Amino acid sequence: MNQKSWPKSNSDHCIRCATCMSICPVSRVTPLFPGPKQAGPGAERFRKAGDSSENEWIDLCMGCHLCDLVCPSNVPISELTLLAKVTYFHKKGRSLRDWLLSHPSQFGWLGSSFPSITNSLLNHPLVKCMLDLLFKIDRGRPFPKYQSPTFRQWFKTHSSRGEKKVAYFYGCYTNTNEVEVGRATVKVLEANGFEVILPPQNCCGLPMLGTNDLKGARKMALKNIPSLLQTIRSGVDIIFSSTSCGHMIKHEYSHPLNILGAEEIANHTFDLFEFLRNLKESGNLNIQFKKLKIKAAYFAPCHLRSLGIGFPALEILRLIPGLRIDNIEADCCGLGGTFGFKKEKYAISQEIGKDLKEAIDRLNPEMVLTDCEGCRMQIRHLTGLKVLHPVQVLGDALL
Amino acid sequence: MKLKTEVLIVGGGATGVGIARDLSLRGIPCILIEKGDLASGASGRNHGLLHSGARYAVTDPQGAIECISENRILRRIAPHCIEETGGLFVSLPEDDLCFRDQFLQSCEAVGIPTRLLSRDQALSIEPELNPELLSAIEVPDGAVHSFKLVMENAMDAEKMGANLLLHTELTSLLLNKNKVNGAKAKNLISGEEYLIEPSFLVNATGAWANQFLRLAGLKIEMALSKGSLLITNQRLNQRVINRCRPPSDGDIIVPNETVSILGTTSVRSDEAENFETTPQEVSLLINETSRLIPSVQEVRLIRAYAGIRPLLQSAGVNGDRAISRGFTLIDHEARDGVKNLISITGGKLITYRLMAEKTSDLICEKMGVRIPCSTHLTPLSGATQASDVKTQLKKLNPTLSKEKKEILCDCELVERGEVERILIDCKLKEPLDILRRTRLAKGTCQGGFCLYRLLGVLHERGMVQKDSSNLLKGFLEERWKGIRPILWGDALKEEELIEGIYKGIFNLTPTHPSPLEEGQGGGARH
Amino acid sequence: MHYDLIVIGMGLSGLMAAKTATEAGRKVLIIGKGIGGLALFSNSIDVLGIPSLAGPETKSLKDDLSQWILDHPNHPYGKIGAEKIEEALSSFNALFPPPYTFQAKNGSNSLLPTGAGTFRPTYLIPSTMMKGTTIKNKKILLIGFKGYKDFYAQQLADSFLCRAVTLSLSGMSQAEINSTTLARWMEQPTFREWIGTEIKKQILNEELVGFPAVLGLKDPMGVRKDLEKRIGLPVFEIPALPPSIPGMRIFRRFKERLIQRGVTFLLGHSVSKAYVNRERCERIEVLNPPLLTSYTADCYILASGRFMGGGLKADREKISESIFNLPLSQYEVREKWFGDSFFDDHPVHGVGISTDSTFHPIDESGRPILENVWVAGTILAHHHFIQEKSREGIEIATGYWAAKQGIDSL
Repeated sequence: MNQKSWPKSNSDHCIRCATCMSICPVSRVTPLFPGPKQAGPGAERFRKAGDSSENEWIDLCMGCHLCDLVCPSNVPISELTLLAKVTYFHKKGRSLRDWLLSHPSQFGWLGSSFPSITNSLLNHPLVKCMLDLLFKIDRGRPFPKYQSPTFRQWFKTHSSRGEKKVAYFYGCYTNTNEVEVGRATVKVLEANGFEVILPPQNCCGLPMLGTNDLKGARKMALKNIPSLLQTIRSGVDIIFSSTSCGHMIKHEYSHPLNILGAEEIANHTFDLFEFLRNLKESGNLNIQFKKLKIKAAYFAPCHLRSLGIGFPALEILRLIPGLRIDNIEADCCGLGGTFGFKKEKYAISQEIGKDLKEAIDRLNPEMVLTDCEGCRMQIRHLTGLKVLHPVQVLGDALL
Repeated sequence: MKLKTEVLIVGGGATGVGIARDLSLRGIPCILIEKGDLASGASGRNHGLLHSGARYAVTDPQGAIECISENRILRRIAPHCIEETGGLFVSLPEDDLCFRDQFLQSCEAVGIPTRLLSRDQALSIEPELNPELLSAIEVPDGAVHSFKLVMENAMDAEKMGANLLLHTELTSLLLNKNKVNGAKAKNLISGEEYLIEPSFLVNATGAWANQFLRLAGLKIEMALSKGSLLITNQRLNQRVINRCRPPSDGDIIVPNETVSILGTTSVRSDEAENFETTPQEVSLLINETSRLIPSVQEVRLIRAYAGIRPLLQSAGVNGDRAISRGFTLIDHEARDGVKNLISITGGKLITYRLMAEKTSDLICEKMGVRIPCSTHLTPLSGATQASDVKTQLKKLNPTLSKEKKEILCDCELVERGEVERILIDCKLKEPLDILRRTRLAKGTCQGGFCLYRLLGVLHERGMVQKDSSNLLKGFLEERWKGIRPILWGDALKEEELIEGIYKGIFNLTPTHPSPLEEGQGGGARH
Repeated sequence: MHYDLIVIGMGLSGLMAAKTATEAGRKVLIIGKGIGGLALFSNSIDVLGIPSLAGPETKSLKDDLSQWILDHPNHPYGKIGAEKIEEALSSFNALFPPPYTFQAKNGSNSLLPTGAGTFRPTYLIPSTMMKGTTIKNKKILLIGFKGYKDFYAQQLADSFLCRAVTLSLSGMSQAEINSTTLARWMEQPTFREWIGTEIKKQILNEELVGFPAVLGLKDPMGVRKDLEKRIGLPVFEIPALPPSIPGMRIFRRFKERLIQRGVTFLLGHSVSKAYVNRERCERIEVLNPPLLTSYTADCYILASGRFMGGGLKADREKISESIFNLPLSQYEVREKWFGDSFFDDHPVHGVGISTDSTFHPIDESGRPILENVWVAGTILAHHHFIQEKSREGIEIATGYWAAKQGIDSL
């Protein structure tokens, strides 16, 4: 499949139906964003696709892809918006703040080396105030805690065994901030007969996209491609537990980054639960579960919806006896990765999250499960509830 | 109402308003009557091309000289009605390069500046061009906003004392021996009747010349020629793109704000009204112009329209293209013995000023006065520089100021404020006229959403006070004429949406249940 | 991945088909690019709103429907019959337990006011719109919002000969507000308190208050109840330009139910190709660039809609069905696709897929072509839903019954 199938002239295909406007979480809560209809195909009649936006409002697009999903005409709305954004910031220049937010792996290393100092500093009111004033990182946004040892460090001390091999792309956040997710993933895969290997990997590059650094995102992608290619060419599939990293690799590496080899990798890279669902299809899934008496609610992250695989985590979790799991009816958590950290966007982020909070309150669960670390951060912040990755519950359920 | 004046001009196209302005600048009182809106004829239905004249250099050098001269004048006096796009004459493999050489020589001979570009040079400035092209010649073509040009002339004329009566139809002429003594006219909206007593009468009715002259018992041989044009959803070219070959159909693509206009055809017509673009013309235009810009084959079209060229039949010439587009000034005294009647016909949009000048000169001569023309020297008021398309996007910029900006037409970014200003300033009595004065409904969905919104605004301003569904239906029928010839692909999808809205959600049918049956409604309005 | 039933299309007919199949205990995949007409048009449920049945006389629709069907045997309704259409509508209604229900007034069509100051006949009306059927007999006050450009209360007031008030939302820092934002604000008690107070001040002798159809997405009856309490008068809503908030409520309810029941819900992706072998569809391919993913099922429901949804495609010469390239009912050259007036009954709208009485697609000689594919929704031939006012009825009835046919074959 080549790029020819991407519509050449998007404003031609747009029939101005405004369905995208009905789903956009940002234009729903702030008048400062004219909405996907204008930001994408509408603007394309006034400027060429890829030309710079006229104004910074374009940066209010969170990149949630929900507009793409509901467009009946196949207009790649969020991509058009992204290109206009990226060009705008390329001209204007990006701030130090954006550099800071887009290099989590650098800070991850630092943070995990000195976790207690880092964690107390980052969440100290004075430091938060300073970060707010100096770098416009909103003081209302809690920083995730760093952990030691990192997932990678832990894995070095772990010997993985299994009949078949599977490669795990764990992502920055799992490595330094939610090691337990990584460990649960390994546990579940091993319980299904897989030896887990960790291919050499770097940040997937998504935070760079989120701060409009297309070049930076490409750089990260190019760093990752060789080892990922080698992995799949040696007959080993890759799985990811973060739907954001996964979406980046499976889709954004091809579009808009146009990296050679991306398509090949995409065909052998799977969401963890998609992988498990495939096992279930072929009768090879380990379903030896103990009863878990938990009332949980599941939230499908935006990137998961865009992956087009349905909600496999929900399907697998429903196999666990005793587990009551409801799907949360809401569109977007509002964090948008780096979006919700930015001072000028924090209020918007929280307003979007309000709808999600209300939906969760209505279900009144003990815990919330979701595959994306950004959503987990946001839901914790919004509700104070226990928020886990579905794999952690699955790991607990295994006999 | 009885009105006396020096000159009665019949016809509100470019020529008519040009004469009104010219006469007004010379201090000569005049009245202009037009049975429709300004530019209802060819002046509002043309390609919008500010000719450099290059197209006529080989076949009609005199016409070419007129063009380049007027081109330069219009750039001076009406820069805000013109986009200085420049133009290219493109030679394709099937085009005769001898003609190209002739073309270059002829342009030089009449003083039209040209520059020959190589294939690569041409493609670098116009990437959508056919990569098979051999060469391209730069010429000073431009794009003109014809309605705006007409309107600006009309406004100027009014400011200087001319009396312009739109939607006023000439019903009869009162002739006495060899003179026209009076003209009766009726306002089609208010019903008001006029008796006008002019010293001179000018027929500037374009293609309607014989409908007019019939009232005086006269006739001229017209060779009406229909030209159809197609509008693309996107602007494909920055410059005017012409085919470097002897003038033929489908030779020109003119950019205009957010779109490109593909043209044109030449089909003999008997009618000044009731014509439409045929499927054959649509195919011809797409096939021919796609030789210049291949993506024309796939691009979405949003509208088709046609205009009637008011050409005068010349004896012994075959094929309308050969009829000179040069204009003809007819003094009916010499020709038919009617002392104070003049007809001006033929010509092109961009020679309107010259046509008006010659007509006004003749009138002055007959009046025995010597006041020179100054329309080539005096800029149209409001003559500021035109802005480029990209800056329109600024209308989307969020503003927290008290100055509320609401966008009515999402496709063309037309603000409510602009529409309301025009409704007030132009004192429009016929709501449909608003559509010619803004870009509302000129975009991708051709008014799908904004026609409804326009109606809402009219109600809020009290300009429409009862059930306006007939008005809305009128808008939709008008729109339909332009849409019907291009309904396939994305345009057909769009139409499903629009029908779903107007016939579905709003249930507008020719016989929809009317709310205004006896005993209906309820409660007085305050 | 293998399923019992794959539904292609996420409009109302696809959603009904998926609901029917999952409630029969089947493993279902539903895939659709976009939400179909629900997001745009479906404010209420039309079944057959032809002029003679438009009301407001109290005539039971069911009887007239039976007669009409006898007169139009080729129509999609002709394959189902009035009884079974009722059954399908009941299945739809089961998704909407009180308080937000869909009801037919007196078992017949009613005339509802529209955002253009006209009336339209419709059958099943959501609770929040029901009071609109009484506007001819009541004094009403219509409410608009400055900057909300998809509804103009003054226009309706001029048509319906009543009063209108356009509220200036002074708290608003912007010039424009869209339907989704307004609907969201309506769900906030502080907003309702504010407008309730403002509106109450404006009432003279009116008995009923009409709003644009933005009374909340999630809890319209709660929003209405609160507004009625604050204003002191009954309240109803009137549909206007898309997007349709009432239609989105229907979509969300379906989505909730389908996901709850374990249907694989792939919104946002289109089927690029179907692979057929010997009169059976073997698999479908879904394009999500750069990936092409295959899915297989024992049966397939094609409910891909008409041109807007991409189910049918038209180029300059011909019309085709996008996925299976199924034969279409007869049609003429492009010049004849549309009438001379915008308001004509355009021939192109009757073009679609011809099927036998069990919704299998058929060829020119009437022979069923694909034994494991059934067709539902507006892509079917021989209906003119715009003129007939039958859109949702066709979608619901054919979606339901085509799925039943599919399930029976398993």
